[in-house]
Amino acid sequence: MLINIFTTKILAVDATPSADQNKVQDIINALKQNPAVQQVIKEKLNLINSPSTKPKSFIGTIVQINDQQISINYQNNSQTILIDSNVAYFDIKHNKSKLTNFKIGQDILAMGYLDQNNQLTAKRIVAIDLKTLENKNQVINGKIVDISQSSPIMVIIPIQNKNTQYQIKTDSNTLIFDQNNNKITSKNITVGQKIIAIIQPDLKITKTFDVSKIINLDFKISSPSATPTTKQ
Amino acid sequence: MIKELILAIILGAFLGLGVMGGYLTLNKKNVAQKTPTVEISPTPISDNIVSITPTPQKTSNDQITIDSPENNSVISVSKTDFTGITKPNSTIIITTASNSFNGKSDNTGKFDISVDLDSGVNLIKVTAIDPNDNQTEIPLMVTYSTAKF
Repeated sequence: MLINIFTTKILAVDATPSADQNKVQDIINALKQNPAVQQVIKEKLNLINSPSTKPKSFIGTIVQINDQQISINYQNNSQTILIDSNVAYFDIKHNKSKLTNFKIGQDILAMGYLDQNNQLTAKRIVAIDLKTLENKNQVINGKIVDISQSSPIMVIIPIQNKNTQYQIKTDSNTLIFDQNNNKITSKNITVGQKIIAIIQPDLKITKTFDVSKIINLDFKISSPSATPTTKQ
Repeated sequence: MIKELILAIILGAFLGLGVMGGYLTLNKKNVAQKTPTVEISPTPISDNIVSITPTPQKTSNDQITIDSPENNSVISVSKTDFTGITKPNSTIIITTASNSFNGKSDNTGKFDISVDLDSGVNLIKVTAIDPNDNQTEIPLMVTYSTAKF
């Protein structure tokens, strides 16, 4: 009898898949119901979805205007500006103005805060002239191919576009540096050197550009003609 | 008397084990017939969940990323640091309408260049020229204003 007892197969209670599944589901349900977990997740969602606390600004030309919103366009991008009685309006000379002074076609700067729909709730709207704000600077990375002996003009050909050339004019305001930001002079610029020039179209001479800054990438401080002055 | 008692205990234990074994065997067969699945489908915690579409904050193209400042931002100080990442050891030139500032990215591509802003709207161009003379430019608009709103 005793032997029978010991030889009787005793089936071990293995962890069944159903027991595991139930445990996992229980844990998930418990987490979902846990108020602390819910609160943390809600706060994170609110943070992501809430309006930005950083002020934003948009510029553009008015294409639509009423007493609740203004639509502006700038470089093929549209922006909706929401307005209310709290908005401060200013004219182009920064004198106080009012909404009725703004019309379709007027350029404006609107400052405020973005909402969840990417619309700007305006706080200040200022009349501007976009043409005067344009950044006409161009950056040319090229080689000097010619330096005039009689005038402060040199010709550079861009490294990436050898089919074009730029006639650039220096003046007393032109800043010239080596690649380590040490100030040098126009005497340190020679034909064949690689430079980066920051230029703008000259208003008086066609096909000529005024250069505000030159970075001479090939200037070597050990050159006999080197006359470095001070760092920028 | 004692003998009968012991016998009864032994028999009872044997019977109990047998019943338990039979039950477990039956249960195992039933489980094997079903296909166990655990469906973990998270249900919304709140009914008012709005779809998350975080506003992009970095200005970038495929060659340069500006981490700071954000495009269309309003800054209340005239001097601000432009930080970002591009190819290593690139020359970085930042121009406003009236001025230009330059520096270099380090050997990890990161750069940090201090820029003096004009009052009001600044239409800025950030240009990067890598050691192979590849040039890329990215525009952004930043407003310098001390107005409180």
